[in-house]
Amino acid sequence: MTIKQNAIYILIAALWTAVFTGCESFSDADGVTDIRYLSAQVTISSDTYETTGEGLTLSLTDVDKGTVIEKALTGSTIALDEILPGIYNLSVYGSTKDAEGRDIYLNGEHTNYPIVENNKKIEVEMKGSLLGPVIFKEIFFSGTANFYFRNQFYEVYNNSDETVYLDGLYFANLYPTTASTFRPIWREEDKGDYVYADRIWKFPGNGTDYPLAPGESCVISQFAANHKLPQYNPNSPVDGTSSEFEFNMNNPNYPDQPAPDMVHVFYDGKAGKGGSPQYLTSVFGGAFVLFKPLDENYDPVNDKKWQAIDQDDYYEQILAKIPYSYIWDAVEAGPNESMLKGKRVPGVLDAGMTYVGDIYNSLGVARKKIGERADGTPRLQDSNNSTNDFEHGVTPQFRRYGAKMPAWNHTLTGK
Amino acid sequence: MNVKITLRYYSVTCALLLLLSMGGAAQEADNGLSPAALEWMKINGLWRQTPNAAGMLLGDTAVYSELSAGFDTYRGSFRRPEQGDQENNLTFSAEGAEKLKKTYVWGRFDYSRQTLRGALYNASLVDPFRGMPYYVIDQNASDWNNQRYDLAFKAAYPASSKILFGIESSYKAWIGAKQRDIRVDSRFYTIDVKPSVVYSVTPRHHIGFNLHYYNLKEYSEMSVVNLYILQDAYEMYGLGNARKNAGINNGREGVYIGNNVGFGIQYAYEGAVRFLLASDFDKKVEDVQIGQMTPRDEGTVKDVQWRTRLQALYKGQTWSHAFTLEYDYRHIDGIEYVTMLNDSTGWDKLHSDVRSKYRTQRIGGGYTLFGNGSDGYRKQIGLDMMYTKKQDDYLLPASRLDYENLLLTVQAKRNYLLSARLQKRLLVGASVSYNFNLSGNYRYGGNYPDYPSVIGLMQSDIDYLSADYSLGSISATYSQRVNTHSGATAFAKATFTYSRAEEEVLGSRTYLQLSIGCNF
Repeated sequence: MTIKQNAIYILIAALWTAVFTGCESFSDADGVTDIRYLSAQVTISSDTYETTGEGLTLSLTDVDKGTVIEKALTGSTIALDEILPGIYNLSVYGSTKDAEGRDIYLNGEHTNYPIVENNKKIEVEMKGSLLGPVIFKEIFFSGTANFYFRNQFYEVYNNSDETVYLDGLYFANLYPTTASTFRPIWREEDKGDYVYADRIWKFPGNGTDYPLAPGESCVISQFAANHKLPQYNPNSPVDGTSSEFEFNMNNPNYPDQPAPDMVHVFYDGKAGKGGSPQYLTSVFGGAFVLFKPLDENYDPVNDKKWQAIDQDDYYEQILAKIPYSYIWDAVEAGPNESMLKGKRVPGVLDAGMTYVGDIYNSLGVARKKIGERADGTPRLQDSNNSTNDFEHGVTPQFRRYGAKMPAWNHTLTGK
Repeated sequence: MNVKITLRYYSVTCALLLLLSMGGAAQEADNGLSPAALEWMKINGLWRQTPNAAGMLLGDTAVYSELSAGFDTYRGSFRRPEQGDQENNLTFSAEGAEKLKKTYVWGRFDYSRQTLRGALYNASLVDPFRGMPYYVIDQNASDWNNQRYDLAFKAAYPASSKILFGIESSYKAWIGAKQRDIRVDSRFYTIDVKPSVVYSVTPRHHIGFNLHYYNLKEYSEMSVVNLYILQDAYEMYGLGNARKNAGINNGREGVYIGNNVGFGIQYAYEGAVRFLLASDFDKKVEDVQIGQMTPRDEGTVKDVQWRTRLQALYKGQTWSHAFTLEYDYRHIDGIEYVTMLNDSTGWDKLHSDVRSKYRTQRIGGGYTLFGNGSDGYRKQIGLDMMYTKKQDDYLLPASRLDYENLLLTVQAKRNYLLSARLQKRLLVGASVSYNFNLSGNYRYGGNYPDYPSVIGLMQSDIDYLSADYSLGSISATYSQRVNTHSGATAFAKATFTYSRAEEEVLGSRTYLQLSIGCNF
């Protein structure tokens, strides 16, 4: 066989393969019909809480396209129509009270849930979480141009009518540290009603050292310095010196500031802080929780039952499990509105996601004000949905809306 | 050097050798053609304007070669947003035809190096106007450096006095690189084959048939150099609908693979009046995937085109008349997929449906009167008209872009013989066009109406596409034989075009083309 003949056979084979492959894509494409609306029926149920559905809201968000359908429930079943085929975050939520009369946030959800067939029957199991008295009020995670991130801070606020002691209250940022469509692969024993912490801190105190009265705020800074100083970043929107606490990582270049230090609890299975020179959470937007363990023996460092590993994580970082029931407040932030599909926080804790749309843009997120107390301090919105509860892209500010500084703030006591 | 580059160099080298060898043969034949004569030869060769290569044998089977190199430049704001505010092109072309015993072969090679300045939005495709709704845009106006290699050949062989066989093939390799974050390195190629046959029912009546297949691939790799700035990218899926993809810092690969099948039929009559009626049908399916390691189906387009063209030519003693009537219809269905990431199997395709439709209709006609001359023509004057109707729909949630335009053009050319010695000639031309916009609307009904895909790209596009504008063009081509002994004709050509929108805010645009070349 000559080279010429070989070349002809190869050319014919290549053309045949291309045509054959092409024919398959033609038949696939020819079988596709025009888009049409779908219908679905959603039914809620709960083993723990009694609910008729009255007063609950159903929210259906297309995670790719952003289309949102919201409807009020009048019973345990609701019919939906005009749904476009897609992947959805479905959430049924509202508030109720438990047997002890505490405010409970009810939520049932399906995340990244495909709705592609007509007349789909969707069962939703409702779960409850405590509406914590202390909530995140403002978070500044994006940093300031150029690449200055040490001015990150987290402001928590007593939105209740009772004084709350911060002593022993935990703060954690969750894993994955940035929103991602790639889901962790949990071991069987790690699955359940948990969120998974990357790092945990705790408020210091002996139980009554740090009272937070209704309407008072507490700011925790990554580095509680005046960031506007020339050696830091004069463009920074915040001066962190009046922070109540800081996350001190013992970095001699950014020395310990007068604000008391948060107590480090957990990182990668250890109590030590690890080698990182700062407590930097994602400038794209992290997920954060405030929680108080119901089990007094909660110890994710020494008790492996509180530890988890993402089997897809090359570094096999040890994470800490936090049961939903411990959580007072959770806020999820992401890069922008289109990252709902990368949610890490279950809807029962936070059905939405807030964002500032860029990094190092000196903008933060602040919870919306819905009213005022007699003393002028704000009442803030807390529906466990950060998309709705937060103003996004605001210039960061400590104690916005006239929130008060606690009397034990180091700038007032001089300690 | 990778395999693709090696192949490309071999292709270019082969094409150049082919064309230069043709030139050598033609030179021996002492058969030089002036630019006007070459233009007239192509107008005369009605079959040359169809995809049926076999039909070339029914026209003038002139042996010729043409080499040209040029520079052209665009300036001005009256443009589609993805085009550069400035655009410079360096071009090189070689074209030739030769007889190899009974077979008539024709070949062409084009190379262009293009530099776009200040091109807006497009951040993924070498050619964002090719009818692909699934691509990525960003908000950084950027330069693009592009290179294009286009090779084509046709061959026609008379199997008998009644049956002619032909084949046409072409290969395109285009490379584009966006110069600012979000960076893009995009490589596009097509390989195209059109086998054909003509049956001569009588010496005056001929019918032709051709098949058409082409394969297309574009690989678009996006990356970010400055990782400290979050670069928002918008993944487009039609009429401004977009998904914001924050921080494309980990890169993104778009893989476009398409196949086209089609056919064409032709009927020609050779009499005092010659006419040719040709109709072509093409259907292309192009799949878009994101990523190669864990590919996700992004979309598919089903692209149907139907073109019908009637050409008539009457050659009198003093005057000749050319008449053209054409109708084009193009319909693209944009298919989208619902996909979900499965940890073990990758992205599963759960559902597909047609979510967008893009329809274009064009009806055009033209008449040109030629004053016959010894060298192609002495003069010509023509009138052309083109009606365009576009209607694009995103089905749910409903959005629509539509417009209708009527473009009228009057053009004239004069071919002066300056000196019989060395056949020194000057071909001058002028044309004036006016575009009447009959309607134009863009209504967006999707989510995120404040996205740049809506208020930037689509709004700018409809502003341009639905504009009333005037366009004027002048050209001059000087040619002469290289010497008294050879048949080679050298030429230099200059064209200047100025277009201006009626709405002042849309601005104007100029085009200047300079080229030199040689026919032999």
